[in-house]
Amino acid sequence: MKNPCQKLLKNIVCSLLLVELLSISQQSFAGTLTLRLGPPSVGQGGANPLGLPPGPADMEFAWITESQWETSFSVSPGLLIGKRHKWGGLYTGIGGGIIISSNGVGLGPYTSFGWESSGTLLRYGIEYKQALGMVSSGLISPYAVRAGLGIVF
Amino acid sequence: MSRRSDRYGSFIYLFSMALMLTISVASPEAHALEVATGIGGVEEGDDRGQTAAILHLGLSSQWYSRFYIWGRSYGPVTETNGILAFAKQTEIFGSKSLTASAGFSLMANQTSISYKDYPQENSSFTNTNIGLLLGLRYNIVATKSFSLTASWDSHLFAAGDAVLLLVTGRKQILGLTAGVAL
Repeated sequence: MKNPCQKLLKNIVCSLLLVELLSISQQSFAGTLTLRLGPPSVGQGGANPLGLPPGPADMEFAWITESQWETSFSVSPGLLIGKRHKWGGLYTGIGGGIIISSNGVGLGPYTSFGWESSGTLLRYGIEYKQALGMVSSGLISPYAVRAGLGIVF
Repeated sequence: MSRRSDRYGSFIYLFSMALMLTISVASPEAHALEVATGIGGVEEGDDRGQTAAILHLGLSSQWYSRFYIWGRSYGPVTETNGILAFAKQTEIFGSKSLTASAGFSLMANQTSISYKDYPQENSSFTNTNIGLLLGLRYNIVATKSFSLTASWDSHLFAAGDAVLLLVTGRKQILGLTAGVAL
């Protein structure tokens, strides 16, 4: 049977480990997981109306870290990684990735302009994202205006 | 007044409005007037490009106005498009060269149909719209008296009531302008 000192020591060590684990997980995974909805324009004149219910092409998933790195994926503009510059709730993002349009798939840059609320649990916002992709036939330039809701982790 | 004069009259009017607006906003302490011209590639949602002429007026380090004009002719149809933008810019990522812009845009689109053999069928109409300018600018060269700037601007226009379902029209312009400080 363990004496009280051993039990206390064990509790302290376990507590410290737990705090450390929580600290590590916060540093590694702190961020916002966002789902945005809006129709993309894929090089055929303009965007169609948002589907009700929204279809897969109308959706974009984004992971934004506390240091404002953003990884986003949608059918169009595509798979993108970039960095945001913020002024309060307003932001501009710059980055690049795989750009997808009805006229091809290519690599290229993107920029985004948006607004996001500053909630500690939920954040909502709206964003315009434009991209330029280099394909064999030239440039593709899909864009989307999307609004969405994010969960803060 | 000829049809050509009519066509460009509205664009000159828009440009005059922007010039007056820019001058009224610019502070007296602001640095000298910056005038720049250049060319751009316009994309209108179909991944096809057209060439545009750009006139840029900057009256302070933050406020500027831009005028874009482009067009095309095919058969009896002639299209002329003009966008007048008024925007505020700010440096981003701590860079002195890279700026983000936001403002508003006034667009006029004129379509004329002229038949040589059936002049009685000729027609012309103009559409106008107000939109949002969102863009990036990068100063490739910036001295006290000269600047060379690349820009990536988008002019977003609401598509009537369908904007509730996030339907927009866009004119994207990749531009290169060279200017002097007066």
